[in-house]
Amino acid sequence: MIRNLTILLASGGLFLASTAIFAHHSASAEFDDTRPLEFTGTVRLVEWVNPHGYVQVDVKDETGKIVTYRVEIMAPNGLYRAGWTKDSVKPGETVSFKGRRAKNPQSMNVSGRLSLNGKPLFTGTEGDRRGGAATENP
Amino acid sequence: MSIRWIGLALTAVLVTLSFTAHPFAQTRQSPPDRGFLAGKKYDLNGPAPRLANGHPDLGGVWDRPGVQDITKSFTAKDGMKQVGQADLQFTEAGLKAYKSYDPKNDYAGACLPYGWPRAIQGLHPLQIVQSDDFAAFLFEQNSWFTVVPIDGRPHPKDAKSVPTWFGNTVGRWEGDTLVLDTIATNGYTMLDYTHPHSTELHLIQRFTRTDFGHINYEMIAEDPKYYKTPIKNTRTFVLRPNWETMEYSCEETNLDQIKNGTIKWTPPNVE
Repeated sequence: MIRNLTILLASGGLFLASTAIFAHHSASAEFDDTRPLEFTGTVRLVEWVNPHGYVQVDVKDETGKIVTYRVEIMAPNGLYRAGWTKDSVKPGETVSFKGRRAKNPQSMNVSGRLSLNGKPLFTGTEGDRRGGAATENP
Repeated sequence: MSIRWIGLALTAVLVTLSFTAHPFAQTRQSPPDRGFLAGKKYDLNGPAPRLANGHPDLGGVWDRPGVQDITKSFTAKDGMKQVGQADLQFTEAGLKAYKSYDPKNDYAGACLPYGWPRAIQGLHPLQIVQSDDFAAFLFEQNSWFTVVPIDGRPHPKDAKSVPTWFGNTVGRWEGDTLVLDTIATNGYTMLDYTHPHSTELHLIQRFTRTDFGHINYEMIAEDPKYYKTPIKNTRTFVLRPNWETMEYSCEETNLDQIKNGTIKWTPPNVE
Protein backbone atom coordinates (compact mmCIF):
# COMPACT_ATOMS: atom_id res chain seq x y z
CA MET A 1 0.00 0.00 0.00
CA ILE A 2 1.29 3.43 -0.84
CA ARG A 3 0.47 6.49 1.17
CA ASN A 4 1.93 9.91 1.23
CA LEU A 5 3.89 10.63 4.30
CA THR A 6 2.14 13.43 6.06
CA ILE A 7 3.47 11.94 9.27
CA LEU A 8 6.94 12.13 7.90
CA LEU A 9 6.53 15.83 7.29
CA ALA A 10 5.89 16.28 11.00
CA SER A 11 9.22 14.69 11.78
CA GLY A 12 10.69 15.96 8.54
CA GLY A 13 13.28 18.19 10.13
CA LEU A 14 15.15 15.29 11.64
CA PHE A 15 14.76 13.15 8.55
CA LEU A 16 15.86 15.81 6.10
CA ALA A 17 18.80 16.71 8.31
CA SER A 18 19.97 13.10 8.35
CA THR A 19 19.57 12.61 4.62
CA ALA A 20 21.40 15.86 3.94
CA ILE A 21 24.34 14.62 5.98
CA PHE A 22 24.60 11.46 3.96
CA ALA A 23 23.77 12.92 0.58
CA HIS A 24 26.10 11.35 -1.92
CA HIS A 25 27.59 13.01 -4.94
CA SER A 26 24.44 13.13 -7.06
CA ALA A 27 21.76 12.57 -4.42
CA SER A 28 20.77 16.21 -4.11
CA ALA A 29 20.43 16.40 -7.87
CA GLU A 30 18.40 13.20 -8.16
CA PHE A 31 16.04 13.14 -5.16
CA ASP A 32 13.40 15.55 -3.94
CA ASP A 33 13.09 16.16 -0.20
CA THR A 34 9.61 17.59 -0.77
CA ARG A 35 8.29 14.32 -2.25
CA PRO A 36 8.19 11.89 0.70
CA LEU A 37 7.11 8.31 0.22
CA GLU A 38 6.38 5.30 2.40
CA PHE A 39 5.50 1.78 1.34
CA THR A 40 5.66 -1.92 2.13
CA GLY A 41 6.29 -4.31 -0.72
CA THR A 42 7.88 -7.48 -2.03
CA VAL A 43 11.51 -7.68 -3.10
CA ARG A 44 11.85 -8.38 -6.81
CA LEU A 45 15.62 -8.08 -7.25
CA VAL A 46 18.79 -6.83 -5.54
CA GLU A 47 21.06 -4.88 -7.91
CA TRP A 48 24.52 -5.26 -6.34
CA VAL A 49 26.21 -2.54 -8.40
CA ASN A 50 28.36 0.61 -8.08
CA PRO A 51 28.32 3.40 -7.14
CA HIS A 52 25.00 2.67 -5.47
CA GLY A 53 23.12 -0.57 -5.40
CA TYR A 54 19.37 -0.83 -5.72
CA VAL A 55 16.65 -3.06 -4.29
CA GLN A 56 13.72 -3.42 -6.64
CA VAL A 57 10.48 -3.63 -4.66
CA ASP A 58 7.04 -4.48 -6.06
CA VAL A 59 4.29 -2.43 -4.44
CA LYS A 60 0.53 -2.44 -5.01
CA ASP A 61 -0.74 1.09 -5.63
CA GLU A 62 -4.18 2.57 -4.82
CA THR A 63 -5.69 1.04 -7.96
CA GLY A 64 -4.31 -2.41 -7.27
CA LYS A 65 -1.68 -2.13 -9.97
CA ILE A 66 1.82 -3.40 -9.14
CA VAL A 67 4.54 -0.78 -9.51
CA THR A 68 8.24 -1.43 -9.03
CA TYR A 69 10.38 1.04 -7.08
CA ARG A 70 14.18 1.00 -7.09
CA VAL A 71 15.42 1.77 -3.59
CA GLU A 72 18.92 3.19 -3.72
CA ILE A 73 21.39 1.64 -1.26
CA MET A 74 25.05 2.30 -0.62
CA ALA A 75 28.03 1.09 -2.63
CA PRO A 76 28.45 -2.69 -2.39
CA ASN A 77 31.99 -2.48 -0.99
CA GLY A 78 30.93 -0.51 2.06
CA LEU A 79 27.88 -2.69 2.54
CA TYR A 80 30.07 -5.79 2.41
CA ARG A 81 32.40 -4.36 5.05
CA ALA A 82 29.36 -3.61 7.19
CA GLY A 83 28.35 -7.27 7.04
CA TRP A 84 25.84 -7.25 4.19
CA THR A 85 25.84 -9.26 0.98
CA LYS A 86 23.60 -9.48 -2.05
CA ASP A 87 21.82 -12.34 -0.27
CA SER A 88 20.95 -10.35 2.86
CA VAL A 89 17.46 -10.07 1.43
CA LYS A 90 15.90 -12.46 -1.07
CA PRO A 91 13.31 -11.98 -3.80
CA GLY A 92 9.88 -12.61 -2.35
CA GLU A 93 10.59 -11.18 1.08
CA THR A 94 8.60 -8.26 2.44
CA VAL A 95 10.41 -4.98 3.12
CA SER A 96 9.32 -1.53 4.23
CA PHE A 97 10.58 1.83 3.01
CA LYS A 98 10.49 5.43 4.23
CA GLY A 99 12.10 8.12 2.16
CA ARG A 100 11.73 10.40 -0.83
CA ARG A 101 11.02 10.14 -4.53
CA ALA A 102 13.18 11.23 -7.44
CA LYS A 103 12.86 14.73 -8.83
CA ASN A 104 12.21 13.24 -12.23
CA PRO A 105 8.52 12.21 -12.14
CA GLN A 106 9.24 9.44 -14.66
CA SER A 107 11.87 7.86 -12.42
CA MET A 108 10.98 5.04 -10.02
CA ASN A 109 14.25 5.49 -8.09
CA VAL A 110 13.74 6.37 -4.44
CA SER A 111 16.11 7.11 -1.57
CA GLY A 112 15.59 6.47 2.13
CA ARG A 113 15.50 3.83 4.82
CA LEU A 114 14.80 0.19 4.08
CA SER A 115 13.84 -2.36 6.73
CA LEU A 116 13.33 -6.12 6.83
CA ASN A 117 11.27 -7.64 9.64
CA GLY A 118 11.37 -4.30 11.42
CA LYS A 119 15.17 -4.13 11.37
CA PRO A 120 17.28 -1.73 9.26
CA LEU A 121 18.50 -3.31 6.04
CA PHE A 122 21.63 -2.41 4.06
CA THR A 123 22.80 0.28 6.43
CA GLY A 124 26.05 1.73 5.20
CA THR A 125 29.14 2.97 6.97
CA GLU A 126 29.44 6.51 5.65
CA GLY A 127 28.51 7.92 9.04
CA ASP A 128 31.58 6.25 10.49
CA ARG A 129 33.68 8.74 8.56
CA ARG A 130 31.62 11.84 9.09
CA GLY A 131 31.62 12.43 12.80
CA GLY A 132 29.92 9.41 14.27
CA ALA A 133 26.36 10.25 13.29
CA ALA A 134 23.93 7.39 12.80
CA THR A 135 24.63 5.23 9.79
CA GLU A 136 21.87 5.24 7.23
CA ASN A 137 21.21 4.78 3.58
CA PRO A 138 21.75 7.82 1.36
CA MET B 1 27.91 -40.58 26.40
CA SER B 2 24.34 -41.48 27.23
CA ILE B 3 21.61 -41.92 24.63
CA ARG B 4 19.91 -38.88 26.15
CA TRP B 5 22.94 -36.67 25.44
CA ILE B 6 23.30 -38.06 21.91
CA GLY B 7 19.64 -37.25 21.31
CA LEU B 8 20.11 -33.71 22.55
CA ALA B 9 23.19 -33.26 20.34
CA LEU B 10 21.33 -34.53 17.26
CA THR B 11 18.44 -32.20 18.01
CA ALA B 12 20.85 -29.28 18.25
CA VAL B 13 22.42 -30.22 14.90
CA LEU B 14 19.01 -30.49 13.23
CA VAL B 15 17.90 -27.13 14.62
CA THR B 16 21.12 -25.56 13.35
CA LEU B 17 20.68 -27.11 9.92
CA SER B 18 17.08 -25.91 9.76
CA PHE B 19 18.30 -22.35 10.25
CA THR B 20 21.19 -22.53 7.80
CA ALA B 21 18.98 -24.09 5.13
CA HIS B 22 16.32 -21.41 5.57
CA PRO B 23 15.21 -20.22 2.14
CA PHE B 24 15.05 -16.57 3.18
CA ALA B 25 17.66 -13.93 3.77
CA GLN B 26 20.92 -14.38 5.57
CA THR B 27 21.42 -12.36 8.70
CA ARG B 28 23.97 -9.59 8.80
CA GLN B 29 27.35 -11.03 9.68
CA SER B 30 30.97 -10.03 9.90
CA PRO B 31 32.71 -10.40 6.54
CA PRO B 32 35.64 -12.81 6.33
CA ASP B 33 39.07 -11.31 6.93
CA ARG B 34 40.49 -10.86 3.45
CA GLY B 35 42.69 -7.97 4.48
CA PHE B 36 46.30 -7.35 3.53
CA LEU B 37 47.41 -8.52 6.98
CA ALA B 38 45.08 -11.51 7.22
CA GLY B 39 46.57 -14.21 9.41
CA LYS B 40 49.46 -12.04 10.57
CA LYS B 41 50.09 -10.64 14.02
CA TYR B 42 50.20 -6.89 14.47
CA ASP B 43 49.85 -4.25 17.14
CA LEU B 44 48.02 -1.14 15.99
CA ASN B 45 49.73 0.82 18.74
CA GLY B 46 53.16 -0.60 17.99
CA PRO B 47 55.93 1.23 16.16
CA ALA B 48 55.51 2.29 12.55
CA PRO B 49 57.15 -0.24 10.20
CA ARG B 50 60.13 0.82 8.14
CA LEU B 51 61.60 -0.18 4.81
CA ALA B 52 65.18 -1.44 4.60
CA ASN B 53 66.21 2.07 3.55
CA GLY B 54 65.17 3.34 6.97
CA HIS B 55 62.16 5.39 5.88
CA PRO B 56 58.78 4.68 7.43
CA ASP B 57 56.61 2.37 5.34
CA LEU B 58 53.19 3.93 4.80
CA GLY B 59 51.93 0.71 3.21
CA GLY B 60 48.48 -0.50 4.18
CA VAL B 61 44.77 0.08 3.72
CA TRP B 62 43.74 3.36 5.30
CA ASP B 63 40.37 4.65 6.42
CA ARG B 64 40.10 8.46 6.39
CA PRO B 65 37.59 11.04 7.57
CA GLY B 66 34.94 11.92 4.98
CA VAL B 67 35.45 15.64 4.60
CA GLN B 68 32.62 17.23 2.65
CA ASP B 69 33.59 20.67 3.90
CA ILE B 70 37.18 21.74 4.60
CA THR B 71 35.96 24.43 7.01
CA LYS B 72 34.49 21.85 9.41
CA SER B 73 36.13 19.84 12.20
CA PHE B 74 35.00 16.56 13.70
CA THR B 75 36.09 13.27 15.25
CA ALA B 76 34.86 10.05 13.66
CA LYS B 77 35.00 6.32 14.33
CA ASP B 78 38.10 4.75 15.90
CA GLY B 79 39.96 8.03 16.20
CA MET B 80 39.60 9.29 12.66
CA LYS B 81 39.77 13.04 12.93
CA GLN B 82 39.41 16.16 10.81
CA VAL B 83 40.52 19.65 11.81
CA GLY B 84 39.32 22.12 9.23
CA GLN B 85 39.96 25.80 8.66
CA ALA B 86 36.83 27.67 9.60
CA ASP B 87 37.72 30.96 7.94
CA LEU B 88 38.48 31.02 4.21
CA GLN B 89 39.66 34.28 2.65
CA PHE B 90 38.34 34.27 -0.91
CA THR B 91 39.72 36.52 -3.60
CA GLU B 92 37.15 38.11 -5.89
CA ALA B 93 37.71 35.41 -8.50
CA GLY B 94 37.53 32.68 -5.85
CA LEU B 95 34.25 33.97 -4.45
CA LYS B 96 32.80 34.12 -7.95
CA ALA B 97 33.81 30.52 -8.59
CA TYR B 98 32.43 29.41 -5.22
CA LYS B 99 29.06 31.06 -5.82
CA SER B 100 28.79 29.60 -9.28
CA TYR B 101 28.95 26.02 -8.01
CA ASP B 102 25.99 24.04 -9.32
CA PRO B 103 25.37 20.59 -7.78
CA LYS B 104 23.65 19.58 -11.01
CA ASN B 105 26.93 20.16 -12.81
CA ASP B 106 28.86 17.70 -10.68
CA TYR B 107 32.11 16.24 -11.97
CA ALA B 108 32.08 13.60 -9.24
CA GLY B 109 28.61 12.44 -10.18
CA ALA B 110 29.79 12.29 -13.76
CA CYS B 111 32.49 9.86 -12.58
CA LEU B 112 35.35 12.14 -13.55
CA PRO B 113 38.59 12.02 -11.53
CA TYR B 114 38.34 13.58 -8.07
CA GLY B 115 41.84 15.04 -7.96
CA TRP B 116 43.99 14.81 -4.82
CA PRO B 117 42.06 17.03 -2.37
CA ARG B 118 38.73 15.29 -2.86
CA ALA B 119 40.20 11.81 -3.32
CA ILE B 120 42.26 11.94 -0.14
CA GLN B 121 39.15 12.51 1.91
CA GLY B 122 37.07 9.49 1.45
CA LEU B 123 34.19 7.22 2.00
CA HIS B 124 36.19 4.35 0.56
CA PRO B 125 39.63 3.03 1.48
CA LEU B 126 43.02 4.12 0.22
CA GLN B 127 45.80 1.57 -0.10
CA ILE B 128 49.37 2.83 -0.16
CA VAL B 129 52.10 0.64 -1.63
CA GLN B 130 55.61 1.97 -1.21
CA SER B 131 59.08 1.17 -2.48
CA ASP B 132 62.34 3.06 -2.14
CA ASP B 133 61.65 5.42 -5.02
CA PHE B 134 57.87 5.38 -5.56
CA ALA B 135 54.62 5.33 -3.62
CA ALA B 136 51.41 4.14 -5.25
CA PHE B 137 48.18 5.60 -3.94
CA LEU B 138 45.37 3.19 -4.80
CA PHE B 139 42.01 4.82 -4.24
CA GLU B 140 39.16 2.35 -4.11
CA GLN B 141 36.87 5.21 -5.13
CA ASN B 142 36.39 4.59 -8.85
CA SER B 143 39.49 2.34 -8.81
CA TRP B 144 41.73 5.36 -9.41
CA PHE B 145 45.43 5.27 -8.74
CA THR B 146 48.32 7.66 -8.87
CA VAL B 147 52.01 6.83 -8.62
CA VAL B 148 54.36 9.37 -7.06
CA PRO B 149 58.16 9.45 -7.20
CA ILE B 150 59.35 9.96 -3.62
CA ASP B 151 63.06 10.23 -4.27
CA GLY B 152 63.18 13.99 -3.96
CA ARG B 153 63.19 14.83 -7.65
CA PRO B 154 61.76 18.20 -8.75
CA HIS B 155 58.66 18.70 -10.89
CA PRO B 156 59.34 18.36 -14.62
CA LYS B 157 60.04 21.73 -16.19
CA ASP B 158 57.06 21.37 -18.52
CA ALA B 159 54.64 20.20 -15.79
CA LYS B 160 52.36 23.23 -16.00
CA SER B 161 51.94 22.78 -19.72
CA VAL B 162 50.45 19.35 -19.10
CA PRO B 163 47.55 20.00 -16.69
CA THR B 164 45.69 16.96 -15.39
CA TRP B 165 42.96 16.10 -12.88
CA PHE B 166 45.45 14.93 -10.23
CA GLY B 167 48.20 17.31 -11.37
CA ASN B 168 51.90 16.58 -11.22
CA THR B 169 53.10 15.26 -7.88
CA VAL B 170 56.57 14.62 -6.51
CA GLY B 171 57.57 13.47 -3.04
CA ARG B 172 60.42 13.95 -0.61
CA TRP B 173 61.22 12.96 2.95
CA GLU B 174 61.46 15.48 5.76
CA GLY B 175 62.66 13.25 8.60
CA ASP B 176 59.97 10.59 9.01
CA THR B 177 57.37 12.60 7.14
CA LEU B 178 56.61 12.00 3.47
CA VAL B 179 55.83 15.32 1.77
CA LEU B 180 53.94 15.34 -1.52
CA ASP B 181 54.02 18.47 -3.66
CA THR B 182 51.39 18.90 -6.38
CA ILE B 183 51.07 21.49 -9.15
CA ALA B 184 49.63 21.55 -12.69
CA THR B 185 46.03 20.63 -11.92
CA ASN B 186 43.38 21.38 -14.51
CA GLY B 187 41.17 23.39 -12.12
CA TYR B 188 38.12 21.19 -12.69
CA THR B 189 38.29 19.49 -9.29
CA MET B 190 37.34 20.70 -5.81
CA LEU B 191 39.07 21.04 -2.45
CA ASP B 192 36.04 19.26 -0.97
CA TYR B 193 32.44 19.00 -2.24
CA THR B 194 31.86 22.71 -2.91
CA HIS B 195 35.07 24.75 -2.55
CA PRO B 196 36.82 25.32 -5.87
CA HIS B 197 40.47 25.82 -6.69
CA SER B 198 42.14 27.37 -9.68
CA THR B 199 44.87 26.04 -11.94
CA GLU B 200 47.34 27.88 -9.69
CA LEU B 201 46.76 25.39 -6.87
CA HIS B 202 49.93 24.34 -5.09
CA LEU B 203 49.07 21.47 -2.79
CA ILE B 204 51.33 20.24 -0.02
CA GLN B 205 50.42 16.96 1.70
CA ARG B 206 52.37 15.63 4.68
CA PHE B 207 52.04 12.00 5.78
CA THR B 208 53.49 10.92 9.13
CA ARG B 209 52.88 7.34 10.29
CA THR B 210 52.90 7.97 14.02
CA ASP B 211 52.52 4.30 14.94
CA PHE B 212 51.52 1.04 13.24
CA GLY B 213 47.84 1.95 13.07
CA HIS B 214 47.72 5.69 12.40
CA ILE B 215 48.83 8.39 9.98
CA ASN B 216 48.84 12.07 10.81
CA TYR B 217 47.96 13.86 7.61
CA GLU B 218 48.30 17.55 6.84
CA MET B 219 47.05 19.33 3.73
CA ILE B 220 48.04 22.87 2.82
CA ALA B 221 46.38 24.35 -0.26
CA GLU B 222 48.00 27.49 -1.62
CA ASP B 223 45.95 29.10 -4.35
CA PRO B 224 46.55 32.86 -4.51
CA LYS B 225 44.18 33.24 -7.44
CA TYR B 226 41.17 32.00 -5.40
CA TYR B 227 42.24 32.38 -1.75
CA LYS B 228 44.15 35.21 -0.05
CA THR B 229 45.75 32.88 2.48
CA PRO B 230 46.73 29.19 2.43
CA ILE B 231 44.15 26.69 3.63
CA LYS B 232 45.20 24.06 6.15
CA ASN B 233 43.49 20.85 7.23
CA THR B 234 44.93 18.18 9.53
CA ARG B 235 43.52 14.67 9.75
CA THR B 236 44.08 11.30 11.37
CA PHE B 237 43.90 8.17 9.22
CA VAL B 238 43.28 4.73 10.71
CA LEU B 239 44.74 1.44 9.43
CA ARG B 240 42.21 -1.28 8.49
CA PRO B 241 44.28 -4.51 8.47
CA ASN B 242 41.23 -6.68 7.72
CA TRP B 243 40.10 -4.70 4.69
CA GLU B 244 41.03 -5.41 1.12
CA THR B 245 40.85 -2.85 -1.64
CA MET B 246 37.92 -3.82 -3.84
CA GLU B 247 36.70 -3.02 -7.34
CA TYR B 248 34.59 0.11 -7.74
CA SER B 249 32.96 1.29 -10.94
CA CYS B 250 31.27 4.67 -10.73
CA GLU B 251 29.96 4.38 -14.25
CA GLU B 252 28.06 1.15 -13.64
CA THR B 253 24.79 2.85 -12.84
CA ASN B 254 25.60 6.55 -13.07
CA LEU B 255 25.92 6.07 -16.81
CA ASP B 256 22.14 5.89 -17.05
CA GLN B 257 21.78 9.16 -15.18
CA ILE B 258 24.40 10.78 -17.35
CA LYS B 259 22.59 9.59 -20.47
CA ASN B 260 19.14 10.74 -19.29
CA GLY B 261 20.44 14.11 -18.18
CA THR B 262 20.00 13.74 -14.42
CA ILE B 263 23.75 14.18 -14.09
CA LYS B 264 25.44 16.72 -16.34
CA TRP B 265 28.91 18.08 -16.50
CA THR B 266 30.52 20.82 -18.51
CA PRO B 267 33.95 22.22 -17.65
CA PRO B 268 33.74 25.25 -15.36
CA ASN B 269 35.21 28.54 -16.47
CA VAL B 270 38.64 27.97 -15.02
CA GLU B 271 40.48 31.12 -14.00
